[in-house]
Amino acid sequence: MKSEVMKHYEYEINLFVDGELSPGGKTELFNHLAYCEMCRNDLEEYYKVKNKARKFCDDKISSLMPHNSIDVFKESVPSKKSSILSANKEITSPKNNFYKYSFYTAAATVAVLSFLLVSIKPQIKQLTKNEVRVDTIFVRQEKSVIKFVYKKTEQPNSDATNINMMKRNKELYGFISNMRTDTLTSRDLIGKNKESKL
Amino acid sequence: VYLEEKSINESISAYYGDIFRYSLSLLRNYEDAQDAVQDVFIRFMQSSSTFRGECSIKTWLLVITRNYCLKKLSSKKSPHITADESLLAFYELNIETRITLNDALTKLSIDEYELIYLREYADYSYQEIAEILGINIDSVRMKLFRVRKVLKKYINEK
Repeated sequence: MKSEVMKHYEYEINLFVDGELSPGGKTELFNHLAYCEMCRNDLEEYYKVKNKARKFCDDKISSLMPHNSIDVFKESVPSKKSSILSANKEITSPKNNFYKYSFYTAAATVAVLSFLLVSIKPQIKQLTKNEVRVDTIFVRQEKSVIKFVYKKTEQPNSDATNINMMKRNKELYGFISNMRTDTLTSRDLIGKNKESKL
Repeated sequence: VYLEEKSINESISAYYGDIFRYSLSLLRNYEDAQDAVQDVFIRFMQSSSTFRGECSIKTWLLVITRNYCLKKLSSKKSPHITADESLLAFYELNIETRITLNDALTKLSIDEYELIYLREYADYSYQEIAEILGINIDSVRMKLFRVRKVLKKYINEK
């Protein structure tokens, strides 16, 4: 008796399985389904009809196509998404080529520079106890040498002494120029100075 | 709305499959469906200047397809008898045989089958179906409901 009076929602169920029912309609339908077994069965049956109909259409289309032409058809007809994407690629690729290549070039440059920055470090040589930095010693020695040379040149000269002086000066300047390149110990310097003074 | 050549070409490549399958479902013949696709695209290119933009290009293409296929079907003197139809004839002779849902589906008229195809297979919305068929959206709702209600009777038959 109750089911005769009760409103059933078959029409709404049909819309619901298609996703075409409004949110308000859905709420009303769910409230009804909570206590109506008949409509719950209907919902299940409409889903079955929908699925079977879809399968039927699918089988029908497949059966209408020649067996060997299905693959050809699939190859010649790209899916919607892929065809749209490929169309977009065709449109955008000529414009984007410049940006693409410039981006890759910039990325490669940055990579090379960063590699150089990391790999090439100033070589700090650890000096041993007896070693000294050449440039520092060179300045000190240079001053002393210049003074020494100056003093010697001030002396009253004869030809013989001048020649000797010039020889010594040459040796000293040669020594100084060697100092610029060689790593020297303080002993070497002292030894050389002694020799030059002699 | 003026359609550029590029967008025409894109539409053809994008909707070729839809047009072909829709033609195939209506004409039920592979070669006829291929002819239909060619004819539809020729018509599309010829009449692209008359496109008013009231619907999508896809819908417009499907409308052209439908018109072509219905015209083709009406021009056929003898209807193409498929294996399913001969099977149905066999079932009609054997009254005791139960009709399954598949049998019921094969019995559908071309309008009913078209509706089922557009909704279940091609997965178009009610609005799109209404535009393709040139009818009101409420009519689509009601027609689909009626067809399914008929089919539902056969759901439990195996």
